Amino acid sequence: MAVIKNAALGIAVFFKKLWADKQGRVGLIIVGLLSVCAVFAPLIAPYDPYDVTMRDDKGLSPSLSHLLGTSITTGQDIFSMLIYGTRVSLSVGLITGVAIAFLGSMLGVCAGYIGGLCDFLLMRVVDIMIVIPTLPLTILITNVFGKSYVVIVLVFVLFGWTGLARTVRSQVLQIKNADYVKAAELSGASRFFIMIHHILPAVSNLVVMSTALTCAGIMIAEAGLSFLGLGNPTAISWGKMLADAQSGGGVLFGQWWTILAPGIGIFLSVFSFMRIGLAIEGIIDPRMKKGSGMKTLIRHMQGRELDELLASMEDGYEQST
Amino acid sequence: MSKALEIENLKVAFPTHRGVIRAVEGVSLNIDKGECLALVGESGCGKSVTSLTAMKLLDDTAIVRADKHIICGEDVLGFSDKQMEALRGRRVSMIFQDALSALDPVMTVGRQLDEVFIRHLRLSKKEARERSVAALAAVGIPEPGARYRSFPHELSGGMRQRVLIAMAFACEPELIIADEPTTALDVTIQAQILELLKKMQQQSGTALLFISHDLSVVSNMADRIAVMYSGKIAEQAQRDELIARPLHPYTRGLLSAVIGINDKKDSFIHIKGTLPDPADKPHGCYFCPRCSEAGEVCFVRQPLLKERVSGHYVRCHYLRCHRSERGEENE
Amino acid sequence: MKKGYVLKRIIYTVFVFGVVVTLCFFIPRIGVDDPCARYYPAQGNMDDESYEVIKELTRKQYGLDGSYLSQYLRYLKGLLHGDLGNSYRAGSPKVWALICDRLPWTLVLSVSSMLICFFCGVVIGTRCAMKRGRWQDKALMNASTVTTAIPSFFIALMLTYFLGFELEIFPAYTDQNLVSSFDWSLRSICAVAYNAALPVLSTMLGGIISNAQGVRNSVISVTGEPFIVTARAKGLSRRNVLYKHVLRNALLPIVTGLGMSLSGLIGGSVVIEQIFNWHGMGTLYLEANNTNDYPLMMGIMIFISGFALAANLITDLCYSLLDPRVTLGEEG
Repeated sequence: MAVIKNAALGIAVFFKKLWADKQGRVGLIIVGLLSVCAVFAPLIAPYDPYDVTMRDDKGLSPSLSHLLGTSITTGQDIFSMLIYGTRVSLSVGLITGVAIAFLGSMLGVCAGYIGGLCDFLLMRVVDIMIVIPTLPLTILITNVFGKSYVVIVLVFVLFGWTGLARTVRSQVLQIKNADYVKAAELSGASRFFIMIHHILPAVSNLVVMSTALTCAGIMIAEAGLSFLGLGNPTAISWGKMLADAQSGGGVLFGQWWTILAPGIGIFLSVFSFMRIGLAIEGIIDPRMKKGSGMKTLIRHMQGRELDELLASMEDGYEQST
Repeated sequence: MSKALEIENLKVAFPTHRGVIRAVEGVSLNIDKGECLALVGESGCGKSVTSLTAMKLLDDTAIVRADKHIICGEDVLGFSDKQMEALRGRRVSMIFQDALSALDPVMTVGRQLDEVFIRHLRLSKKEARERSVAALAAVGIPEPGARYRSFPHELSGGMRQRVLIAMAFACEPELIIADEPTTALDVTIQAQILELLKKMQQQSGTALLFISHDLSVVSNMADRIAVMYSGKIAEQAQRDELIARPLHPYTRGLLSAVIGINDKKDSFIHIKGTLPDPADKPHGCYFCPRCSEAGEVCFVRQPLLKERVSGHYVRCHYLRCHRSERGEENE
Repeated sequence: MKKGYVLKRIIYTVFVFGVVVTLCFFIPRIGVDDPCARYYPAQGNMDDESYEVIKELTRKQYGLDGSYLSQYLRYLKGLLHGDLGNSYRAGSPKVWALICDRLPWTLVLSVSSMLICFFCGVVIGTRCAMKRGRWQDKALMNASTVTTAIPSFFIALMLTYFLGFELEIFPAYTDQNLVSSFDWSLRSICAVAYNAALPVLSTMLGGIISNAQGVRNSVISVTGEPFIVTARAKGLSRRNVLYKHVLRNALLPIVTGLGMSLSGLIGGSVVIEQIFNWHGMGTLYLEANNTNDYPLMMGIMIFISGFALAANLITDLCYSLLDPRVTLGEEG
């Protein structure tokens, strides 16, 4: 129970810190807005984006009735598609990110803490996974097992945990040799106890940071795969919207908004998760941020303040009597 | 007699997000030609900052002011980067503490030594190489020709320090600033390096500003000793005078910590506490929170540096009574 | 010692390659009853017996006869002779020949993009590191979080629209005669450069910024090292210190990263090639995907993995030449 309570407390403190950070707040706000869009998409979207029966309204320019115009090939409302697109992007990104975080940190901790054969085997597997080109592999697997986001998520998770496992492993190796862990071992704490109480908390920030960054990376990759037409053929995703705009001649007919809209959607979701990731990085390691403002500090320090400082540092000789 | 280094009223401050760090507050130093002045103090008291400022090597995140700054007769206060560069390595040079990190890890020590000759004496690469090998030999490095091609990590700590010394003496400068040159070394190697440094200094007649936290190291080398505390000079005198009659309680504490200099059995004085936070210094005398002899006035008013005996300066309110006490004991 | 390490490293690389080959071989065969099923001609009114004969012939034609194990051994044997098998395309061309035909075109794009990114990155990154905390530096830091969030294929689409169609500066789609008419004359080389402009531009932007940021961080951390103060104390000018000491040390990790990124040279630009219809490996792979040309897909995957492995091996072995502190065989 105490562990759960501590964890809950830790999460609360963590979000507070994240909110206090300017970068983090921007990220949190955007992610919040996108989540609202994803959950309440049917309420927000003015049209049914799956409705392909409006053949008369093909390729309309933005207007009051269609905020971002309609798609070139089938006449769906682009604004509604944009809102629904958050669902695919966020769910693929989040599910994959969390799964990778879980798998990667577990395997990393195992390799680092248990060591021995377990470590050896896991690291050899990592060596192999890293060599295989991910995008061609994903294409091959969707070809064999069918085009669907489930397959895509599975491939991403199966081949995406390696980087995180490596970082976690090296972090664990450092902590393992720290004096406080040695002391706990000597005082008879079980391996499991040490893992839960010392090692997991120490790597948790790192894992959360890399999860945010992984989510961002996965969203870009998902958009790329959808763009290539490897996602669910029926789902509405930003990548597929871009592909439709391109193949439908959005470029050719000068309808740049059909490209810009999904592009901005991808950008916002990736950007917000990256902001959060970088903010956490700043919280973990403040050195990354500090020190950039020194010169401005000096430039601000002028006039009376500087004179006073220098005067207070004045020193002289006392005349000997 | 002309001076090798004259600094008057040097002030250095670093603005940070935590507040202004007052590293050096009105330090004045002067070193005669061929003389060795030791600057002694705890780590963090501002001695390294003083040495870097003397070379004008601090980056521009620091606020630096001085009334006078003369190196080898050149008033460098208004010197540009270019003018300073011509001076550095040629007429004034520096030896650093940790020779491993003070040498470029991806360049052979020989090439790093060559750079000095090429820069200042405009020698060709081949001539510079010959001079470098000779310089390595002069600091007692065996097989200088082979060591010339070594990378810093391939040498031992003592050898690396010798390379740094060779580099500092390369152009026979008039002043060398040695910033804790032996701190990172084993005691036996330390003695060898000190010996070498002393020999080189006497041979070339170079003035030396020797910075250390260790009075015992300094007591063999220095002609004069200046004790620094929290950005200010606490006491300054000829070596023998300072060791025989330390006036400042801090100096006495430092001296008593050195076995062999002061034989009195009862005199081990433990200096309690630590240096004050340079961003938040105490009122009054900076040493008063740690001083066992502090009186009321110490907490209120900063003492000024005062010449007590000729050439012996000290910063303390309670000078007279210490002096009389110690005087009686000595006689 | 050194020789032993190199040998060990090479053997390990070969082992990893073997595992990768095995994976690439079996992935298309997992969960499929008869991998050849989709290639059989319609049975029509043929009787079952003669249809079986036709099927067997088809299997032989596609190299799918016998057990998986015998197919695998056959594939490995071919691989030892540098043979990646035959494509399912009409005329069953050698996979190897198809790759060789496309490889230079992909390399033109990715190598030029990589070189531009590296050099611009070094110049911009060093500049910003020198002006640390000023607006140039802040602009770079902000730009890097923005540009990494923009997928390169989106940039590519916007560029085709604005530079290709609106301003008509560069061709929006690759000229299809480019490949067939290429004859090493200055004219055709210029034509390639002209057509490659947009694809390179669209991968460049993000690459330059992220490279610049890496260089900036590296330069800043080296500038804080004590040996830089030593170099300044010797009387070297800022410029000299920068070129002789700072950059040499700061670029070490960047160059290593460059070596590792060699592996991404071939597989990295599938989407970009598809957008511009570029005659490269990426489009070849997509064509293979659309026609279920498994030998070709496998061949490309194995080729890319082998390339990546070789690049990593070479970078690893060369690292000790760049950084004298590292001796081979010791974990850094």
